[in-house]
Amino acid sequence: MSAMSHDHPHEHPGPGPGDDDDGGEPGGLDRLSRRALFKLAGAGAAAAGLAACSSRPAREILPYAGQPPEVTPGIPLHYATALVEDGFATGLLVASREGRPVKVEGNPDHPASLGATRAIDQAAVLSLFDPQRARAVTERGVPAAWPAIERMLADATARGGAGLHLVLEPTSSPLVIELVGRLRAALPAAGVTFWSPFTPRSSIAGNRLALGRPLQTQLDFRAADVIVALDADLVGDHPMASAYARQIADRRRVVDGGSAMNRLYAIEAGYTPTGVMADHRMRVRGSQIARIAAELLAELQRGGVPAPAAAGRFAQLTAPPDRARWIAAIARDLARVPGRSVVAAGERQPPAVHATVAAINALLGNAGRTVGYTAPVVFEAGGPSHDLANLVRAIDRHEGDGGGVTTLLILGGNPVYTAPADLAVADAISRVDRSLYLGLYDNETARACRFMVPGLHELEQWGAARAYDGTITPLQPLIEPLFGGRGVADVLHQLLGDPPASPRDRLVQAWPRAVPGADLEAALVRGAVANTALPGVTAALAWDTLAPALAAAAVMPAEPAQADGGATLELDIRPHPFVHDGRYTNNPWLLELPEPTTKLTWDNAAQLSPATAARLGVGDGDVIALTIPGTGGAASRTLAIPAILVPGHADGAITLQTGFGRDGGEDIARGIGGNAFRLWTTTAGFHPAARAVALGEHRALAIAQVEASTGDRPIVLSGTLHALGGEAFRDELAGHRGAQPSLYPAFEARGPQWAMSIDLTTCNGCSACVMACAAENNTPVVGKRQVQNRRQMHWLRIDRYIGRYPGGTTGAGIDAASDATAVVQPMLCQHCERAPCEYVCPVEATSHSPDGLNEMTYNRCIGTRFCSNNCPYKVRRFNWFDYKDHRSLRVLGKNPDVTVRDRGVMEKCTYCVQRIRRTEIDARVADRPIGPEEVQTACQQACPTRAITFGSLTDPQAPVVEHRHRPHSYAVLHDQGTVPRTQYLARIRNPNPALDGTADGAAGDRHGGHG
Amino acid sequence: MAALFPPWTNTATRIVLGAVALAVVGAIATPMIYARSPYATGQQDPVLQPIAFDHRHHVRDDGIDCLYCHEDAERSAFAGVPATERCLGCHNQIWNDTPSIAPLRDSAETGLPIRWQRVHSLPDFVYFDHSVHVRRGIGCVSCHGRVDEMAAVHQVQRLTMSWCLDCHRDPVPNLRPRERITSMTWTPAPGEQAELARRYQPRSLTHCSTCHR
Repeated sequence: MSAMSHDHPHEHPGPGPGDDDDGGEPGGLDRLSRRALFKLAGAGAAAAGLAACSSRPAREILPYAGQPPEVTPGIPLHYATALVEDGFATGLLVASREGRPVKVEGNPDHPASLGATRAIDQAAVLSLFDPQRARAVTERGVPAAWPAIERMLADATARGGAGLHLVLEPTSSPLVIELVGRLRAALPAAGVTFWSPFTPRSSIAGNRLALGRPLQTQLDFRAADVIVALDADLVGDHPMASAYARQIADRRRVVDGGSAMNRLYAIEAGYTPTGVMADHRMRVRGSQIARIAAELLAELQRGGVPAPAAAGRFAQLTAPPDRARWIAAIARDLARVPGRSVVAAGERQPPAVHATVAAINALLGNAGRTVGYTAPVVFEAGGPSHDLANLVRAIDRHEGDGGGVTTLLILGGNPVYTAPADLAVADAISRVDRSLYLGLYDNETARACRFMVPGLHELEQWGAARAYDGTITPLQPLIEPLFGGRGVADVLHQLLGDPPASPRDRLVQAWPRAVPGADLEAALVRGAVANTALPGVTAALAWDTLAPALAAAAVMPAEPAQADGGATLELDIRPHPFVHDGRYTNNPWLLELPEPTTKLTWDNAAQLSPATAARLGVGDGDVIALTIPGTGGAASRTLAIPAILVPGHADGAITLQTGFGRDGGEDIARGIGGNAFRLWTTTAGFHPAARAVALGEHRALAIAQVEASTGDRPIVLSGTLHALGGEAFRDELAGHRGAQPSLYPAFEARGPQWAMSIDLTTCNGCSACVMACAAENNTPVVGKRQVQNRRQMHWLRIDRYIGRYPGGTTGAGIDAASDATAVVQPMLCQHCERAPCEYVCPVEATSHSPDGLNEMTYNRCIGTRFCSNNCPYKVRRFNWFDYKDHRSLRVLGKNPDVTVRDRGVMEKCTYCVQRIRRTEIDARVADRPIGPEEVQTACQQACPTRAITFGSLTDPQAPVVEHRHRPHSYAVLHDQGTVPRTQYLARIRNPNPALDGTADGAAGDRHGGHG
Repeated sequence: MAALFPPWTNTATRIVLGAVALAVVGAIATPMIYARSPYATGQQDPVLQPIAFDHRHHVRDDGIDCLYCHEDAERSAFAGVPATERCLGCHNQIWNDTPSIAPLRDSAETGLPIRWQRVHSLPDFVYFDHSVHVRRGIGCVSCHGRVDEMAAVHQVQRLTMSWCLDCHRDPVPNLRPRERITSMTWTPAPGEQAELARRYQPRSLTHCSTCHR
């Protein structure tokens, strides 16, 4: 009995935190002896008998005392607010059920959302209801009273702010900016530092080099025919990723072989969603991007793109042979469409690359059309106040002259964890006697400070922020602060001695000054203030600063793209797509969401190409020691971390994602993965001289998908746009849809016939849909151990297959496996018209509805799992354990329209049947028909690229009907005769004929190669 | 050789075999009968409420329509239980000092809800929606019975799945004009329900996801 009770779910703060000897509740089963099993079986039988005797629980109805006029129990309300990350707002509409926020949707009126969300946004509700959030003011871990802090703040303002230093997250909030301005005026001696590791720095510095001013780059892909992404994850890791993904996808919607498509080139080290979406992807180490940008500029000049004399000495620069053909082809492609292309560089690249890219865009005529520049949205972005070294210097001064920092207020962020390794921030903070941290968690920084004050989640806040394009976005709370937290503005007001006021009143008072002429109520309804995007700035190239930068790039040694002979490796550090810089690491939804291209969950790992891994002698999960040599007398730093092989990764380089290796008070985040920030410095996103040694240890990774090959089964079909124009490919595709002979009777169809279409051309694998599905359908988190047992519960998963296009990814492939290309495919219940699962259920728990849904009735299910065994798509999920989580705060975020499943019950995608039935009822109540696009599934609504279409096949207006008639619509595993209601649009690529051997080929691609 | 067993053992064996057969049938039938009995369904079982609210008085004597208090029945899944302030609409004027409505006054004062006890309780995996039933012409009385005759409301119908399905297979006998939804005494004229079925187009929905999601 003891073995089981140790792992009883209710004794855990949450689903399995993933440490190896305790992967959640099931750990006990492996250690169960035969004798203990019989004891348990006996006790279970007795308990079952007792349970049958229990009477029904008394239930209460609690009506409001005074019901708010807008509330009708049972009908959700939506409020417009925003999530703010690194200073940039993403507008959201949050559904509230009787006062509980339960689901996040994108705000169609917000420029950074366009109605879609990122996976991170979808998981916001779980972060809000995280039971491990800080709940009380503490002093060195002991509960303290707020007046003690008030006294400390009053003391700090006594001598004109001398000895006071504030660390804030980068902000675009007009309210906070005003307060900081007042603070600097009132307390001129106080220091203010803004810190977030991944706020734009390099691009702004690069634009200063190229254009003479610190400017923020704004991209517009609506008119871009050719896009070159230089280490830039435009659709995955960018404050505008959702909007950019939509714009790029809108130009890639293939109706037939005659459709126009943009062409996307991705040149990058690690595999990103942008690389997945790309027509051509070249894998190079991050440090080569500078040289490649210069080669591209030189090639453009040779191709006749006019450039001033200042760029003259550049023309001799040529690319090394293995990529010369690529550079030439891209340059010709760019020159073909002057003013209708975008060249973009990623934030990890040094300023010189951004300067080169600005020059390329100017010379191509893109500036002012597809590429714009505005003043930075974030306050003082690129300025000295964004340098964390200022904080360390200010504290160090203390020891010398007795001045320095006596009171340190860290308002948000987690600088102790995210600081560059070359700054001894933790050490410096510990030397300040009176330090305060305001944040959501008792994290590393909270533990380094004397006082901890619970902060506010965005869904508890009044406030404002700007989107990446500058659009003013108001924030309004969905719920009262759960733990009585305080906002950044509250502390600043306290510091300034302002009289107490409610956060809402403060917003109302400050709004007219912050956004003159805009009505706050209207802004709160819309979630954005129209026409407040920052105006574009026309800036001519500043050749006097640009030319030296270009000249430096021109003398860089040209290494071949895949050089991998040296003893050192290049270390590329980037934010994790879901936990970012560690701020979301305590969110189990995001931890269990497979990373888009590695499919790794509950961990980070050293990503490296198969060739590099072979050289190091490691495979998936083999631990390597990564060492960065110390500079200037500093000690070298080492991180032991398991390797993961990523086909398509650049050779000679390692990609490491941040956000793991946390060491704060958050139980779920602590102790998983390795801390990449220990190897990170602010100078560049990559370190050229890391050493890697295999340690001979193995640490089992939880990889959600281990089979990367389709085995030449007709699962993912793809081909070129050119091929789609020809008979052969079209005939091949036509063989994958249509009627199939069957011995089984057809179901009796009545009413609308629901169906889905998924466009593999625009899907980039960002996984927002997976998270939206989990949030909508109350699917549980199972923990690392159960992911390793292949028992994850996501109803919708994104399969990633590794394929090879004839012609290779880099033109001159060194190694077939390394040069492989990934394709992604959302996989969910296909709602087969002749569903194999239905025939084998002994209790008819799964059945077919007259409107074409494959229904799963949980209360009938007895858990035989026959249905799952008979499903060719493997989309059914079984509740091996009791995941209900009823006693946790997280239960408040559950969707009340969907049953929370019990142990022993099969479940799977329902096409969001609760939304279908809701819409049907609404339409019936109003005596009107259902609109052609009225029912939206959760995955469809979240999708940034609108790759998912849903509707009724009986409605000729429904887009899904038109999708069925496209030549590249097909059914997965059509030969099985299941007649799935979910069909896919084959992945269509638009390769440059000069680079792709298959451009003239007539057939589709194969994804069977790598196993 | 003498018989090994005396003749009475024949009778005993028959009785034992019969008892075993009865036990097997009983073991299956008893829980099935029990589950359908009022004891298990909770029918006819008046529920004690924090305030002895008398529907007889409010509906019959005062003539208050069901929708005055249960106002969301036409537009939401839940018919709704009135907020304290709705009760106070009358009771801050009349009978406002009666001891029996002390919980109401407490609720108004503290802002905390009155803890009413649920009478009609469906399992959590059943999603019933009042609005669509009401709009298709199913009256309150069909499921809730003669609430106007109840001192303390009790459950009249079984609320089992087979009971739901009886109507879902053939809703016509339960149809009534939308404007008589709340009537406790309406009876159909001959042929009226067939005419209503033509107008309201009620559907016979018996697939699982109609109610289970």
